[in-house]
Amino acid sequence: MADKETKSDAAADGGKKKRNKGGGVILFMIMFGLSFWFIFPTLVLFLVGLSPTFIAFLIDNDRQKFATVAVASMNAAGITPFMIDLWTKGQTMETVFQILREPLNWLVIAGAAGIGQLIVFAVPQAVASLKLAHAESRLKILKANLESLKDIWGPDVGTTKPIDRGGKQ
Amino acid sequence: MAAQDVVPTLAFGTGLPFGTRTEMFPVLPFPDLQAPGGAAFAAQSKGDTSPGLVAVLCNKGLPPRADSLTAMRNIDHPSVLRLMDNGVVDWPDGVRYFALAYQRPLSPRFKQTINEPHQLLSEDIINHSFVTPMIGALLEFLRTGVVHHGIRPTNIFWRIGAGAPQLGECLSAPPGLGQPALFETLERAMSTPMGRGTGVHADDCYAFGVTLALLVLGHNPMKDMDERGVIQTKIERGTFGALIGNTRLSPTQSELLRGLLVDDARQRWTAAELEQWLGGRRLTPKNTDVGRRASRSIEFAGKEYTQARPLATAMAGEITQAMRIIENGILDKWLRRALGDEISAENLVDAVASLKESGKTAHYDDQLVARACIALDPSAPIRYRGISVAPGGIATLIAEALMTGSDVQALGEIISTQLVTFWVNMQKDLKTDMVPLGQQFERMKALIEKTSFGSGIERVLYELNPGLQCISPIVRTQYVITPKAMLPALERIAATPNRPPEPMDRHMAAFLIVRDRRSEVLFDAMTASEASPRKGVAFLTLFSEMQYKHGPDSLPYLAQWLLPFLEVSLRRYFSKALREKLQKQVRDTASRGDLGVLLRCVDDFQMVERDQQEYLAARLLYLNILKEITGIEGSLANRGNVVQNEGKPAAVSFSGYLAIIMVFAAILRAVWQNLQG
Repeated sequence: MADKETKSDAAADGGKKKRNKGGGVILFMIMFGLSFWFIFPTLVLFLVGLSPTFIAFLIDNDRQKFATVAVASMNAAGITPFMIDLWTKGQTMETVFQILREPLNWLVIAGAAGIGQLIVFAVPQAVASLKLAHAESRLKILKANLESLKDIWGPDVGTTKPIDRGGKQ
Repeated sequence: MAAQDVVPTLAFGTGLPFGTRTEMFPVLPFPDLQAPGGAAFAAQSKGDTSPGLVAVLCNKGLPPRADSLTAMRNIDHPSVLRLMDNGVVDWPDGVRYFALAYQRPLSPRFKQTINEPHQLLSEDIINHSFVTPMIGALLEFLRTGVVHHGIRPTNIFWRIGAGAPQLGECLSAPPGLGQPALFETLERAMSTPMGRGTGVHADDCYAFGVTLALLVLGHNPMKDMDERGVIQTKIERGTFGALIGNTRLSPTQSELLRGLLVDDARQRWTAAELEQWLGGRRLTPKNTDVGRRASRSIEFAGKEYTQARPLATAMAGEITQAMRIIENGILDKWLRRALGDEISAENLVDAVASLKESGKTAHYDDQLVARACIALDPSAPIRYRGISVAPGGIATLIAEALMTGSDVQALGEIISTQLVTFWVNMQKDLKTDMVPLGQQFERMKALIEKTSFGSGIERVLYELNPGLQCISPIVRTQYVITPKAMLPALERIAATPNRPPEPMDRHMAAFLIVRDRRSEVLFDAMTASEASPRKGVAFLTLFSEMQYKHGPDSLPYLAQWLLPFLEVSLRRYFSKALREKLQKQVRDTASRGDLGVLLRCVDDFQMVERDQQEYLAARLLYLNILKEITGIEGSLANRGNVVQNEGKPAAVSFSGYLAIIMVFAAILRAVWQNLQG
């Protein structure tokens, strides 16, 4: 009886969640539809500005898309000052074109994305080098520990054979 | 006796000390006073300037009669050489011997050989000068429980007309060893000299009777006979008849000799009766009890026999023919019909039946004949496979066999086949007195069948010979007679360059189990191989307990001897450092010779357990380290994985943090521009 109640409660909760989720999407769609005309310039600037990210996405063979994420985050950071400019000068398409027409602005946006790509190239190698150097020094310590154990307890300490009670007792 | 004159002028330093207060002089032998057990030398009490002693050195490899020492020291009688002291002496040849210090005899030996004739003496002189003091000596023996077993003319120091006779020493050799068959009762004479055992007081009275007979006769009437002939004549004619024959004696002498020379020990006069005789009470002379004769003889091995005793003696030497007359019933018929001895016949039937029931097949013929001989002649010794031994003499015979390295197989079989029990059961009136002996040998049977260390024939040896020294080849030269003397002896041996590989053998184990009441379990561990640590620990446990109980406080050489066995024990410790530390500690302790401390160093159970736990932890740690090394080596071999799995996520994180900083910087720039204008 109690099991049935529990199951029915769980089913009711699941339905509520689905309804809530569905409701959220609908609410987002409504809000997006209502605000589309107000955020359109921002959206255009953002999507156009993220073009280096799209290129990175296309050339990134990694399943986990580490390079895309890194480029995207730097690319987004590079767009940010122009987004602020757009919002402070009024969100008009004219301002958007004005920003996009300026090559220096593209240099900033692409430069930031480039730094992201540079990070993707350099940091993993640097991290790997550090890690392996550390591993090598750890390996030396561990091997020294093994020798030390052998010195203290004899060569049999490295075996898994049963303790020789006949000889040792 | 020039040596006797020299003794007082000797420097005191030349004497070898022994016992409690005696020293003997090896450079001054007394050949005239030589004893069955060894040579005699001049001796004196320490601090005493008079050279009044003679020391008998028991150097012939015969076990002295240690069990009679105390009783003998209590005898202070003018007709007995007084035992003044006894102990172990360090002889110049490096061997330690047992030595006995006696009062120096006042006269020379009465006779040099028993066949030596002498002038006839009057009855009065004999009674006054010889019989009376000798009866006094026998009374002393009866009082103290000593059985001398050495009463004979050649062991009496007496010069006619010069004081009382003195009985010589009797403790340097097993009882009756130096005694000719003439002076032994028939039963004892039939035994091998080493196997006569300690008899009874009546045996001394018999020997006195024979000695007296020779004194009265002035010669030895059986001087032309060998030992076998003497025994045969005694069997056939009885001792009185064989010695006195038709010689005319005074009624007094005849009465005395008849009383003393009765072959039946139960009828023989003892010192108590001799005292009554001396007091004037006349006792009924006993008949010479020559054994019962059969109405018709039995033919055996080409000879005719009319008595059971001679027949039994002959059967013991002819096993095959003896088997024939036993198994075809001729002997049984002869016993019942010709001899009329139903008891012996029934005994014979019992002997055959008991052996068949036991199912023993090894040496069946020998055993059957031995039992048949006992059935025919119950008081005679046990005769088995060429050995003729009284049950009380088995102990000495085993001792002699083991000391000389002779075969003890037959003696072992006498014990294991319960021939002694059968012998005891066959004794008629004396059976109740013999029951403890039978029980003792039943116990010996159980011990001799055990093969463990400290059991077997060696154990039987020390159980049956309470006064015997340890005859282990390891300590034989040290004459170890008590457990207390064992450790000092081992210490002396340990100090020699050619000490044996091990400080223990079966003899020492048996000796210590019997004399020091040690547990057999401890000795089991000593049979382990040299690679086993149990062996060294067992040695050390035993010797440390003995050191604690008996001393001495320091035994550095023995400790050094044990070191190789203890090294094995130290291998129980896994930790090298701990092992090295303990090795050093053990060496230091061994040099001090304290075995108890040494044992605590070597056999600390808690330390062994802790070391083992730590070792197990170290093995686990080793495995974990190996696992980690394998992982690291895998990483080093595959850099791409590190880049992929750790480098790229790090790059993402780094770019993320950098982007956040840049966003903040952009916001701050915008805020700054607004504030500017």
